[in-house]
Amino acid sequence: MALLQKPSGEALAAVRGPAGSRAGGPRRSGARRRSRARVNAQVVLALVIIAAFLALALFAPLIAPYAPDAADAGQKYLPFGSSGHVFGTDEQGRDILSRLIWGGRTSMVVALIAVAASTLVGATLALVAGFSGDRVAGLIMRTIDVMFAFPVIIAALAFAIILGPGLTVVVLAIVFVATPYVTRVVFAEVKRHRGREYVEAAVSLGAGFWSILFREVLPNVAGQIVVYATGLVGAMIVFSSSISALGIGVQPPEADWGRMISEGAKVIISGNVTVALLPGLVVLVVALAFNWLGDGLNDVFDPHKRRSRS
Amino acid sequence: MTLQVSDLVVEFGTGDDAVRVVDGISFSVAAGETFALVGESGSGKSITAASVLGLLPDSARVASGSIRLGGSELVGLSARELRRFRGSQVGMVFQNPLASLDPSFEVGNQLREIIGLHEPDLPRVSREALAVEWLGRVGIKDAPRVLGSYPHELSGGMRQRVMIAIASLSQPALLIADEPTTALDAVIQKQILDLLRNVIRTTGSSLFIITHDFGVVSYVADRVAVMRDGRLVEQGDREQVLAAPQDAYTRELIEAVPEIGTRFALERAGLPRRLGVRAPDWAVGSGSPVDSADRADQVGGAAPAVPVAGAASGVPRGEAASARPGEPLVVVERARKEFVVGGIGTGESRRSFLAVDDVSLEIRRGEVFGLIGESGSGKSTFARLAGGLLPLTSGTVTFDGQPLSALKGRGLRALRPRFQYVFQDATSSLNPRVSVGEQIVRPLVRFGKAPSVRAGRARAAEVLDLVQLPTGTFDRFPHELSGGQGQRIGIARALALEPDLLILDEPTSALDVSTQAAILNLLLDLREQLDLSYLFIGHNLAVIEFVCDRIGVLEAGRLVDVFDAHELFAPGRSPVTRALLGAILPIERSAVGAVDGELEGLTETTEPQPVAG
Repeated sequence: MALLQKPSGEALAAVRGPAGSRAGGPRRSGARRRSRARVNAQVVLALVIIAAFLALALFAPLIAPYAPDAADAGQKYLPFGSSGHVFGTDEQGRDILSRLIWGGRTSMVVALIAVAASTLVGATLALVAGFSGDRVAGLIMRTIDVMFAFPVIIAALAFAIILGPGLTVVVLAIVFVATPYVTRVVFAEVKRHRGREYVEAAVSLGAGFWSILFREVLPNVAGQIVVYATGLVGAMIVFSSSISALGIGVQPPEADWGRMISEGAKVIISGNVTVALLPGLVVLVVALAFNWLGDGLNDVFDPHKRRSRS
Repeated sequence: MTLQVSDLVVEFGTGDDAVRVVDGISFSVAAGETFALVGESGSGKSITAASVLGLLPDSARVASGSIRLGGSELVGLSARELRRFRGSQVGMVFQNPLASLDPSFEVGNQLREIIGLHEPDLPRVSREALAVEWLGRVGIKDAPRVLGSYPHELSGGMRQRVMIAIASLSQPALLIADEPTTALDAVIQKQILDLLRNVIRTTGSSLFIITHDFGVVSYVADRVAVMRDGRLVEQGDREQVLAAPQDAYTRELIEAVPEIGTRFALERAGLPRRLGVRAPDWAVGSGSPVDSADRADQVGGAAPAVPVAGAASGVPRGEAASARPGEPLVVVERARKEFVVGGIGTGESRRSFLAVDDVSLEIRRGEVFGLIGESGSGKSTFARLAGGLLPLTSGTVTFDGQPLSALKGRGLRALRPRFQYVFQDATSSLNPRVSVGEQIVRPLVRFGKAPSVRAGRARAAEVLDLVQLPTGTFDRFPHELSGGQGQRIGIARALALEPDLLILDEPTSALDVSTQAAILNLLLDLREQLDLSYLFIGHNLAVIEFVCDRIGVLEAGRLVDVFDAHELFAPGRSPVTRALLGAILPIERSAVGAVDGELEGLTETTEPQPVAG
């Protein structure tokens, strides 16, 4: 796995590769095979990045050199690369590396869970709406429209008032934001399949409503759903950061990438850039990794590029 | 010599990966001559035409050989130089004029633009006049209205007329027509072919026509070449090739075409009703890589014909069954289906049309009932009504004594295994993401016809064998199958449920002639083995007459004629039936009777008015 050793260089190659080699390349030539290999490399790299951050988050107690809230007033604003604190410390003298490792638990894991929940809800709603009569479909899709139009921050504040600030608010806010997107995208896809002959064939072969939805149509849209949801995770990590930055999400002193950015932003002006920059970069890398994964999966799910046996 | 192609080789890709789709073919088209290139899908005939025009796809190139047009070499010319030839020296008529006319401009706009390209100095008024004149020449009477219409507002036949006007108004030396009538109904097809003949006669052009249909060849061509896997297996004068084909493949193709009367000729000769049985000696058919299963079993289909005496002694069971007056299996009474289009949110006013209008008929047990009509006549809608896929607006459908049209949900589903559907396009009626085997097993388990998935697999293997596919097909996905194999899977999936009735919605109209013959033979075999009844929907009267015992004719949603197959020529047939019969293009097998160029189809008579926008 050369990828693990020098991720950045490979990452750039992986991103540039397919685009660069797309020109020309007739169907059966080696060029296409090579560009396929690069797409796979992109997926692998994204998976490696995501797995690494997930592992860090899960094993945070074992890996992190310090407790995330261990403040040391005597060690404030240590710069990047200080001995003992490789990534430096923040305004309370807490170790930034440890807080980044712990922060993955709230930021990344929560976003993953919330997006998974939205996908489940959204995709089911879309499938049902896509194969129902005008009334049920109208009810579902107009509700989705209202959710789209509703100001997210107000909704999040409402959740915070009812439940009190905390992780639950972040999860609910993400579900509130992500579900309408998933529903719309999947609904459009499902409608395309509604009139297809294979669905008509399934009816003539006696398939019932749910059997058509989940056994016939779902396999045909699952690829797009996964691709879309994966891309959404990246965006939702950024979104969860902003909810926490508002103060209604993760509460101090708990570590969270979004809170770290918002608190670090206050001290950038005094020249302590790393406090906000490092969590910002982490969010960027993880969000990018999820986007690459989404792009790559798109190819993997294409049935014409898959063979039952080669 | 207008067009001279020598040793043409066209390859996709380069180097070791290159695939030869045209492999060293030579032919020529003389001035004023009509030359037909015949072949099945994948034979390379369209690529050959595209290379003459310099319109090959990006991944293909002319590897070697020469294409000379009126003395100029076309191979090696730049795109700019080639463009000079296109339009002025070569006109092109494509299969689908809706795709080749620009959807966002009026027809007049497109015609004037082409005229402007050829005669830049012509004033605007004269361009308009020239456009009107040419529309008149292609048989369009109300030219001003057509000039102001968008392509989607015209019927298929009208669009093809416009396309022919555009292609021929510069009076090119060569007109290339790639399957110009494949997308059209039989009656319109004949009109368009008459028009093409007339146009090349008045302009003095040569016509290079690409087709898969020997009827078209017989009707228009002076000379013919037969193409297979990138090579020409035979070429010569029409009479010679059609009457005495030298190559086994040509013979196989011609024998695979069902014609009016084939069936009764076979019956009289005491031969089983199968395609390809007229010449028992042709069973050479080497397997094509594309559809070897189809080819292979077509040879099998011919096998019973070899011992002629044996066939004569035992009349097949199915033939006997058709003679017996079976009790009605499906009774349709006064079926009506109204579709509503437009309405809120579509930007169009709400209106409705009757797709099926007061149709009553019955399908008897053991018979093949054929339903024929032009596109838009409501035949597919009727099939869906009879198959319980669409609710009726009014009327009743009774299946084996049970009121199908009154049943809903569970009751209807319980009845479904007894009547099964086979769709026109097998590939799209198969779920692309589910393996072929699972698609056969699922309904079996659903209806308790197989107690377990394992038992379902065994049954699936049985029906795959029944449609002559290897058991290995079980794990395949639909996109890995050829058209013929896909249609076999569609039939196998339906048969697995042991239905009484198969509703076949144009099951062979998307297939090559040899594949069509194989599927038709298979359907006739299966009917005898399994005691099935068929509702066979089609637009090709020759196919319908060959397969069906009784025939119904639909026009504009109404059933205008019902008769026994042998009464096709009886007096009292409806004008629609007679029009369909008149549009048949028989294959001239005798060397006599070169069809004289009558100009009957020159003006459009039966074409519907454009849809009001």
